[in-house]
Amino acid sequence: MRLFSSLAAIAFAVVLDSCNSTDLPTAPNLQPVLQAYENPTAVVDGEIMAEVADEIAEAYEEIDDSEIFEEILNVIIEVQEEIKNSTAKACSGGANDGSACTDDAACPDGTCVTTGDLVLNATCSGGDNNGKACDVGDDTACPNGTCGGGVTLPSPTGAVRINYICPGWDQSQFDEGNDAEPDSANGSIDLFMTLDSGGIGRVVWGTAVNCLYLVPPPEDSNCEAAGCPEASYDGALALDLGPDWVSEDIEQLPVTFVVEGTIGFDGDDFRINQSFRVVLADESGLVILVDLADPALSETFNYIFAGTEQAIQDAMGEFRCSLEESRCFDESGTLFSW
Amino acid sequence: MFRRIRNTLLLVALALSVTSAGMGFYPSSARAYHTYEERILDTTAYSLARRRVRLGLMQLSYGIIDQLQVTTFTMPWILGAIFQDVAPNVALKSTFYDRRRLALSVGAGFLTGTIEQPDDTKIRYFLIPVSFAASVRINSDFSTHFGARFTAVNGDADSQPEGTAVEGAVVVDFLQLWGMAEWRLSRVVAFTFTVRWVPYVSDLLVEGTLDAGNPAIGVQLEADLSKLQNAFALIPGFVFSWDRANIRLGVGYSSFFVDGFYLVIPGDVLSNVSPEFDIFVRF
Repeated sequence: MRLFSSLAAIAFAVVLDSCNSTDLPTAPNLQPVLQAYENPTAVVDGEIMAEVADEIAEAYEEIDDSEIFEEILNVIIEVQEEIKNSTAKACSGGANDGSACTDDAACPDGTCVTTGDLVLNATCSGGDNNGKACDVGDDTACPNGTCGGGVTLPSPTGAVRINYICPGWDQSQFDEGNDAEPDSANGSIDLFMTLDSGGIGRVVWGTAVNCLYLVPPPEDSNCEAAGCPEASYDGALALDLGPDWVSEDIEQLPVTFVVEGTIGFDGDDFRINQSFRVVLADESGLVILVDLADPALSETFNYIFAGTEQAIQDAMGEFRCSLEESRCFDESGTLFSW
Repeated sequence: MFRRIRNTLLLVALALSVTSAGMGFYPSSARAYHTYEERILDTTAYSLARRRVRLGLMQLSYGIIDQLQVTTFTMPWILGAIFQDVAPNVALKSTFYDRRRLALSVGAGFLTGTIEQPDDTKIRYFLIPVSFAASVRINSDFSTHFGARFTAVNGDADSQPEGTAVEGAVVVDFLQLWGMAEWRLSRVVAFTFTVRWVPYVSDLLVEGTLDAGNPAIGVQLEADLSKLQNAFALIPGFVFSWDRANIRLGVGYSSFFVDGFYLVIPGDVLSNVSPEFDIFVRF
């Protein structure tokens, strides 16, 4: 884990170089990190765990408490939705083959598929909402009219820059009807993503600059009633949405993060230089990539948190562990302790 | 709406009356018809002689000196008026060499305008065409003409801060080549066969803001315009030239090359019909 910094340095050097370029930014290569998750090479024993157990526990606590991944993924989901709504779709097969559509219901005996073309500035033509913005092909947004026009970009490729002003620590942000202007004093998250065939690329990268936010209590968004912990993140980040990012809901995907920066939580700062994997819809699940050797990623294993269960996935296979009990075990009993 | 239609009709009426007036303005010169002096100006290297004028539905030209004519296309003004803002345009053409059987010309100009969308977004465009043409007189009846035009298009848009409108800049360049055979069937009628081709179109570069809200979404995109690459048109036509009046008429196949806007409309948009038309007087 202590040597993970060299890999992060390589990844973020690519990011910085791409920002300075006048060409489209190039996504960092996260393949070595993904390979490390798929093929752990370390053989974990008690001696190794004695050295890294505290670091794993601390990283888990900070990542899980601060929910920094949720703050970032929610921004990405919002952007993906915005781009999806601006992507032209047409019926493939069936009675309305070739006609604009927004969903399969508009395509009897066919399916509604994306054309890959991005349509910006579509507006209602005629009807009650004449001249108002609408999502391309969505005539339901234009009662008695049609949604069309705008500027069509055929099969665009390139980069998307996102600047998100963080919500800050003001509890009133969760009040109903609160529409306060974003305050740049709350810090920001700046992200890059690529765009190809009408969708975002699987790798997203960028930086957070002293981003302040509140962590709502589970199943209760009313911070004023329950009180929300204050959290922050300052540093670089890169993430991979996985191989199914085009077809699946991002909330359901295992997303691999690489972060290097400082997490703040309830008044304490924690320096983090770590890769972890998380599924947004599964709040209790987290996989931490533990990197033991130099050069980076030459000896790794995965430490898995799944609800109340913990496990290690190493070169020999998968077995259960408990940081609280300082031991790893299987059905036959304790394998080793520290 | 009615005001816009009225303005448009007034502009069309004005163009027609200018043309008619020119037609009715009777000869002070005997030079007319298809002659050694009077050459087809469009798609050739020839330009108007000094103090000669061309007034037409599609363009208005004036010969500043023997080697230099200035032209403005009428459609950008008229269509610009329909979209609430006229589109000023000027094109200069210089026949810098015209001896024996060969004429050579260079041209440059600009077209600019604004399109206002229903949601108040304004899209501004600026086109700079640069062209070169050569005309070869094979004999008194038959000529050939060749040319190339490079057009650089710049555009930008701004919009209301809310919504999904794009703000920013657009860039695209393209190259058009043409060749035309001209056969003078009589002193009034000339048959023309024109071939136009787009061998190169750059990717469309868009840099701007997709959404200025929070999160603000900026884009730097390249859009694929390969559909336009290798767009072509084959256009047989006729040019009728009388004492003063002239008509150019042709209907061809495939893409529509829009004179004055310097743009190409892919064939499938207009069912592969590529028209060519102008009516004008020269004096």
